Parts: sequence; C-alpha cells; structure tokens
Amino acid sequence: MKMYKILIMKRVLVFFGCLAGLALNSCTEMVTDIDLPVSDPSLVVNTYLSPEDSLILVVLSKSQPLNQVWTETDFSKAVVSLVSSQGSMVIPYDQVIGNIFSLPVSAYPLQPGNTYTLQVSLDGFETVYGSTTIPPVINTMVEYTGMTRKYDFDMEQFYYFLNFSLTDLPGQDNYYYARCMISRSWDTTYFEDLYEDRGRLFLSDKNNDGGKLYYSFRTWEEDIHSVRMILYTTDEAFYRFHRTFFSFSGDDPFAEPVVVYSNVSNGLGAVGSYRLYEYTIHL
Amino acid sequence: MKTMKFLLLSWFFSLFLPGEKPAHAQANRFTLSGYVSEAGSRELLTGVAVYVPEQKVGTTTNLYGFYSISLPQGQYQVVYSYIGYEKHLLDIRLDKDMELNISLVQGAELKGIEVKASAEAKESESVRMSRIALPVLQVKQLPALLGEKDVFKVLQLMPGVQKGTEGASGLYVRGGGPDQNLIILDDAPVYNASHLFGFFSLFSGDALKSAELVKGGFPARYGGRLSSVVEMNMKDGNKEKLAGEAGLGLISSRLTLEGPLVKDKASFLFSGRRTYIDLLIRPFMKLEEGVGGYYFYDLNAKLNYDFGSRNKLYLSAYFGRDVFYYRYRGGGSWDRDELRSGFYWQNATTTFRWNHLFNKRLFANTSLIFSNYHLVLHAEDKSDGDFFKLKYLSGIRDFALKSDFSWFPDPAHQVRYGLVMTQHRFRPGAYTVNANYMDIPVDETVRIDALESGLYAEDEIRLGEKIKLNPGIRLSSFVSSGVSYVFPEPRFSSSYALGERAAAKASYALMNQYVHLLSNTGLGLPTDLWVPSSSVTRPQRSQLVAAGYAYDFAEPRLSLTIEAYYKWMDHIIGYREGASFLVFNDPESAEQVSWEDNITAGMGHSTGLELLLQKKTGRLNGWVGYTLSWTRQQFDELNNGRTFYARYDRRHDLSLVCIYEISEKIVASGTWVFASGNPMTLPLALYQPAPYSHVFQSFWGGMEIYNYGEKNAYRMKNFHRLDLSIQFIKKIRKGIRTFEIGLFNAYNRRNPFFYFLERSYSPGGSTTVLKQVSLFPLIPSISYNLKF
Repeated sequence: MKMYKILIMKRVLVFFGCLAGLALNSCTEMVTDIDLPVSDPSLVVNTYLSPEDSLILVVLSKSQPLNQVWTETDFSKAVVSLVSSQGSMVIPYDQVIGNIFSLPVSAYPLQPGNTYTLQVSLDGFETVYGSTTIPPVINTMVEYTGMTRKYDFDMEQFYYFLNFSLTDLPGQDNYYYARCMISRSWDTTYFEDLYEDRGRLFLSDKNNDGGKLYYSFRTWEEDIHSVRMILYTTDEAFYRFHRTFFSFSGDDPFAEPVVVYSNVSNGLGAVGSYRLYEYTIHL
Repeated sequence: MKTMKFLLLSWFFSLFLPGEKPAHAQANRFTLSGYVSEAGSRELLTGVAVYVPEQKVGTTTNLYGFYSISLPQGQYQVVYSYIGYEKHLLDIRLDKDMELNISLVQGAELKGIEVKASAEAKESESVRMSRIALPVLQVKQLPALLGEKDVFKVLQLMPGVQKGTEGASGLYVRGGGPDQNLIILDDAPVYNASHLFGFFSLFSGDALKSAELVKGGFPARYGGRLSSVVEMNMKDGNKEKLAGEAGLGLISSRLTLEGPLVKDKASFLFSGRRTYIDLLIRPFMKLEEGVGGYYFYDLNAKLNYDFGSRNKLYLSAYFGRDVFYYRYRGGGSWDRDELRSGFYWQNATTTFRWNHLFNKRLFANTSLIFSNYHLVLHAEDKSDGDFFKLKYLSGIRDFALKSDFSWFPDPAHQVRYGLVMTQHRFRPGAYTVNANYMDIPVDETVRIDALESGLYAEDEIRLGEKIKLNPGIRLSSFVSSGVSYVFPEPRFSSSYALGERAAAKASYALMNQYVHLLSNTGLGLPTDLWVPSSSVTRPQRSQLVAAGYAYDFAEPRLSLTIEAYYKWMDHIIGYREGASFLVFNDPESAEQVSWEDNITAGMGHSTGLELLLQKKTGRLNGWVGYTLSWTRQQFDELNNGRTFYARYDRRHDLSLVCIYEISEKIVASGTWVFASGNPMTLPLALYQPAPYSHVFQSFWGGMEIYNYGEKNAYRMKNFHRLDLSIQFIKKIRKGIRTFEIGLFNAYNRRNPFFYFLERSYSPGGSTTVLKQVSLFPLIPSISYNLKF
C-alpha cells in the first residue's frame, strides 16, 4: 500500500475514533437534576356538613412542599370558625381524636339551603376559607330494581349485583353518592357495607337533568335478608372533591395526573355538604 | 346506497360536461392539455407550473401529471417550470385543441445535486395558503438521526408544525394532536405512521414522488381530520430503463429498483428497508439464555400501465412491520421450558387507481383503497407438558372507494368534485387465551363497523388579474352502531394580488373527525387505539380561520409567507384524570372499564403567527421557519373545569435549515431548532386530605396525594439542537455514489425527554428531587448511497 493511502487511512481512523469518543462521552449523565419550583406549605381543610349528622367535624393538616424537609406543626392552636347568616361559631379543637375540630350540630343547627363559610387561621400559614350551601332538598326517588347474577371464573363461584335506579330532581344541578348494606337471615339487625370502587359511586345529573341514574353493588353473599341503600344528595364540592380524590392513581407513570378538586381559598381540601336518605327493602 | 347513486350520477353527469365540441363555439377558445413527465424516466410530475405570460394565466399539473388550460385562438409562449428541473419554454400556435406532453430535464447535470435548479413557482400566485410542498430530494440532503432520512422529521421543521418530544416523528399541527393528521399514501390512509415507538416515520422518501402538508385553508376534497393532511404519492417507476438506489446506514439498509415492464407503457417500482441491529447481535445470544431483538422493515411496490392519454392504471402497495421478539428454551429432557413471546404492529395499504380522461377538459381518478393497521401481542409457553397461549389484537381496517373529477371549463375556473366512501372496521381489543388447564378457551373479539362518506365540490375561480377564490363545500357523514352524523363543511380560500410579487390571502375551513385515537402519551405508541364516534363520543370538530401575506423577492430569490390563524376545536377527546392506558389494555378489566369510560370530551382553541422565509433555489438554499402560538383546552372533567395549556402548546418554535453546495461533489447541510419547553403537570407538594367516610367516623385518611396546582402549569426546559451533515458525491461508472457523515445534536445539548421525581432521604427528613432524562447525546452517523 502506498504511503499516502496509509496516511489517509490513519486520518480516517483518527477521525472516527474522535467521533466514537465524543459519542461515548456524551452518553454519560443523560439524567440531570432540575430545580423544583418553590412553594410554601398551606393548610389542608376538610369538612362535610349535614343537618342529618350529629357532629360538625373539621380535619386540619398541611401540605408538604416536595423540595422541603418535613416540620411538625401544632394544629391545636388553629382558630376554626363557621360563619353564616346564623352568626359565627368557633369550632373547638378535639383533644381526643387529634387534629380534628368538632362541635355538636345541636350547638349550631345547620339549615338546608343556607350557605356556611369555614375559616381557619394559624400562625405561619395564610388564612384559608371555603363555603358550602347545604342542598335544600333530599332526593327520595330511589328504588331497588332487582338482582343480577354473574359467574366469576377466577373464584369459580357466582356473584350478584344489587341494582338501584334513581330519578334525578329536575331543574337544578344535583350530585349524589350512595352506599349499600345487606343483612343476612341469621342476623337481620346487623347491616354490613358492600365495598365498591368508590370513585364510581359519585354521580352527577349533568346532561341528564331529571333522568334516571343507576347504582349497582356487587356481593358474593347468597343469604341476603335485607338491602339498605343510603343515598346522599350532595353539593358540588363534595362531589368534585371525591370524584377526583378517588381517581388519584399514585405513582403510575402511565396514568394521567389527577388535579384533586379544592374549594378552599389559599389552601387545599374541601368544604362540602350533603343530605341523607335511607331506603331499606326486605328480599 | 345514496352515496353509490351519487357516484353513478357523477359519472353520468361527467359524460355531458362541455368537452371538445362546445369549446369551439365559445369565442374560438381552444384547450391546451397534456402530461408533464421527467426526461429519462417518464415519471409523471405533480405540481408543475404551466404559465402563459401573454394571457397572465396558468395552472399546475395535478397528482397524475395532467394539466389543461383553455385559451383564445392565438400564438403563445408556454412556460413549464418545476423546482429541481430546467425551465421549458415552448412557442405554440393555438388554433385547435392541442395535446402537448412535455418532458422536463433535471436541473443539475449531476443528478445527485438538485439544489441549483431553476423555479418559477411563486407563493404569491397561488390561491392556496397554509400548504407546504416538500421536495422529496431535499429530505435526502438534510441531516437525520442515525442517518435515517425521514419525511416527517423534515415536516417538523416547517412553521406551524411541532415535534412532540425529542426524536419523535409525530406531527403537532396548529395546536392539534398527532391523531388529527390525515396521512395518506397513494389515497390510502395510514393509521400508525411510526416505527420504533415513534422515533422514525414510515417514510424515508426513497419511494416517494411527492409529499405535501396542508395545515389550513383545506380544499373541500380533503376531510376526516381536524388539523392537517399529509398527502404522499409513490413514484410510478422508470418507464425507460432499469434504475435504482441502494443505501447502507448504521441501523438499516435500503434498496429501490424501478424499471420498464413494457417499454414506454408499463413500469414497476420496488423499494425496501430493513433494520439489522437484531441480526448483528444475534450471534452473541444463546437460546438457553434467552434471545430477544427488534427490527422493522418497509416494503413499497407499484405497477402502472399507460393505455395512452385517456386511460392509465396504477396498483400500489405498502407493507411495514415493527417486531419485538423474545425466545427462550431451557431445562432438560424432563423439564423442558420453552417460551416464545413478543409483539408486532404493522401497516398495510393497497391502492388501485384508474385515471380516465373524458375529454381534454375533464379528468377523473377512481381509486379502490385498502388500509389495515393492527397491533398483536402474543405469548406461548410450554413447560413440563403444560401449555399456555395468549394473543391480543387491536387495530383498524378500511375498504374505500374514491372518485375525483377535475373539470377545466376555462382559465377562470377549475372545478373539482367527487366522493369517497370508507368502510371502517375497528377492533379496539380482541384476545384469545388457551391453556391445557382451561376448560373453555377464552376468545373475545370486539368489532365495530362504520361507514364514513364525503362528497364535495369546489371551484378555483380567477376574478380578473387580482382576485382568486377557492370556495367549496363538503358533505361528510358517519354511520355506526345506531348513530349517524351528517355535517356540511364549508371551505373557502382567497387571494388578492398586491402588485406582481405580493398577495394577501385568507381562508376558512370547517372540519369534522369521526375517528379518534386514544393515546395518553402522545408518543405514537403502537398501543394507541383507534375508536369510532358514538352516541357518547361525538365527532371532533374544528373551525380554522387564517389570514396571510406572501411576497416573492426578485433577487435573491426568496419567498416570504406570514400567516396568522385562529382555530376552535369542539368535542376533542382526552384521557380522564387517573385513567391509565395500561389498565385500559388489561383484558381482566376490559369487561368493566370500556374505553368510553376512560375518556372525556372538551374543547380547545389555538392561535398563532407563522413566518416562513424560504430560498428554494441556488447553491445556498433552505429556510427559516418561526411559529408563535398558544393552545389552550377546557374539559369539564379535567383540571376541575378550568382551562389549561395543551400538552403540545409551544410558545416559540424556530427552525433554521441550510443546504449549501460547496462544489458539485460536496454538499453540506445543517439544521438548528429551538422550541419553548413543553407544558407538563408537575406535583408541587404532598398532602393528606380527608375524604368523607361512613366507616371511620365520617373521615377516611391514609392516602397521600400530590398537589399539582394546575394541569400543565409547569414548563420543561427549552429545547434546541444543531444537526450537521456533509455529503461527498462522486460520479462513478455505473451511477452516482454518495458518502454521508452526519452529526446529530452536534453540541451535545441535553434536551428534555421526560421528567421524574426521586425522593432522597437524609437524617433531617426526606426531600424530592426533579430529574430530567435526555435521550440523544451527540450521535455521529455514516451512510453510503449508490444511485444507478
């Protein structure tokens, strides 16, 4: 081989050697740290008011910014008050349960149709507040429509759906939640809850004003004596908060992130309300 | 049946449209018509400008190389011009109808270099706007990832078109998603146009004759998607001699062959590409330790027969497949264990086309079209005498009939009308499971049939010398599973000449989309699923208005277009918060969670300003493209009903593209892109709210959740990258060889691909760190091409 060809070959080899070295070097450190946006902790408040309940309960906590180290907070010093046209009432700290503020409904009777504003102040945090209007009407138009049977191939046994239909109250936005219980023939007084994917139990009448809504609860129990359904007629905050909360899917990287609803200004959580209707049928 | 009747009526009606004889009666007007082809191959050329300076009238050849123009009796000079080809001037005496078939010679003597050709096509002369005709030859000159040339990656460099994530080939046009692009190859829709999870598109350009992107001002002949139409046509095949092109790259090799079957009458084209990383690493793997690999390939084929100027037949097909596989064989003779698993996805299209010339002013094309896309996951396990087989399939298959008519009554009008009927078969999910321990094998298939139709009419009108209009109407319909939709879709484009070199333009288009792509990654993964409109999932709709200005500089020959647009989108779909496509594809839950439960509908709007300064000819050519845009969406069930920035909202997007012919033997090129960071939803804090519970004293806790603030409120880091390449071209005895060296991401910028959170623990407590993953460092490439 002539000398100039060898020189060219050498240059080509050096050139490709440099390229390969450059590529290998650049392959390292493909993961880099990025500064997280700065945020401050804020108060998290949850309360759900109902005239049919015996207690007004407010749960208080705080959010933990991701780029900060956890610090303890004494929530007992928070000032929690409920304000409405009925006047203002401070809700005291519950020493027994902890981080919960409670007040008997009898001390501050809740009126259907009234708007209540919850306000919470604590040193080191912005004052937060949220309002709810208690649904003025209870929906009682619920009926049991029967049981359907299906076979579970994994468990090799039958299971049942207890089906209910609900007629929406027309002319207004309505939101519902339901729970279902059953009693057995050997103990007709004890009602056991049926667990369902809770996100599916929060319904709205959007695009279906005055129409039918349906609930189905699954059970493997064959010995059913009575079925009890408790229907919650809720406000929008109650519905939206729970819909989004139960959609939260943790760290699943393939899941759409869930922006959990909040109607608490300067903070997080929900201030909601509901009404109760109980419906029992003997099978 | 109604659409069939329309088709038959169209044909019947066409027979009576004014043809040759009435033209004589119209004030001594005669028709000049014919085909324009490439000298040396007789490949029919699309979009060739045919201009008569004395009359200041012109037209362009259609997809099949045909043109027709009617003029008063007289002597004229006719100019035929096309980018990359020498201008052809012809003096004619028009005293009767004339048929002139023209051959254009490629602009450069050395055919590897097409950059210094002449061109007269002016942006200011066309009534159409928001349209980009991409010279396929230019695709081959620009740098590419691993040297793999890609039509879509070049389209991403145009204003109004954005890339999704680093390296991805998906197109995001004017605020629309990748599902809102109609990608057609020889009239057949292609449903998943990507290889290797979206890093490469199906189209390397080897077999393509033309590629055009329409992102607004949609003529009525297009329909079915909201945001864009990417129309590509395969070469017909060289009618004069056997020719071809072969390429050897880092990850794949290519071969294209074309030639005559019957001299000057029939020709063929065959093109194939296959990656071979799996073949290179295969010798180092043992079946006992597990053998896995990945490859993809593309095959294009086309046959055509020319029966003369009146009838031409074309049969074209595309087949491409991506394959992941894993095989294992272990154990001894008593406890043998054998596993075969993998997945593949594939596109297949076939088009049979018939061009028919009723008379010199009426041209028709009728196509029979087949398109099929499906994804298959399979596993087969044999162990100790037991066996288990699983197969999962999802996809979409189309049969379509399409008929298009072009009528050229006089230079002031070019009328098009036609119809397309498509029978879709959706298979959102089908799976079979069989095992020796199962009493009854599972065999569940969901099939949804639908019929989509569109009939249209449009006219390209010239009012005097200054005003051009293109009004049109399309009537689209969709019938499936008890639902039917019929919508009129008005379309309008206009142009007003401001002197010889400038024009103001405006357009409006209403579009409906009846098929939806379920994708929560936006990456173009094969797991994305096509589903039809239904009573719950209504057709998506968009309305787009655009206004623009075009100016053609005399020297240097530059064309400038500036366009502003506003787009409304209704019934667009998105994944519900919390929905996961992994759960969605899990057969266990498919019974309980239908795809309609996982999606939600909303609205969106996008507004933007686009600038394109382009130099199409000369030794130095290229373009600067800039887009300023905002895209926001509102879904009642996302972000608590508040508006948010779309995932593909991009404030600034800039592309600089440069090709420089250093000499006849060396061509250098470079691209530099800059894009504002993509929006993403980033958690700011963790908290533990208390939902209502009847079980735990009215509250139920224990679940820590993220506070995201607003959806898509955080921006990833800005993206920018420089790619370079240099081609060494040499004429050898049997053709031209091109040796190319490329540098992808030349200054090794770490661009964001995705972000994730990592929690770190210390004695003082835990904190969370945000990590950015980049995909492509500086990647050199080398390839060798031979054209013969």
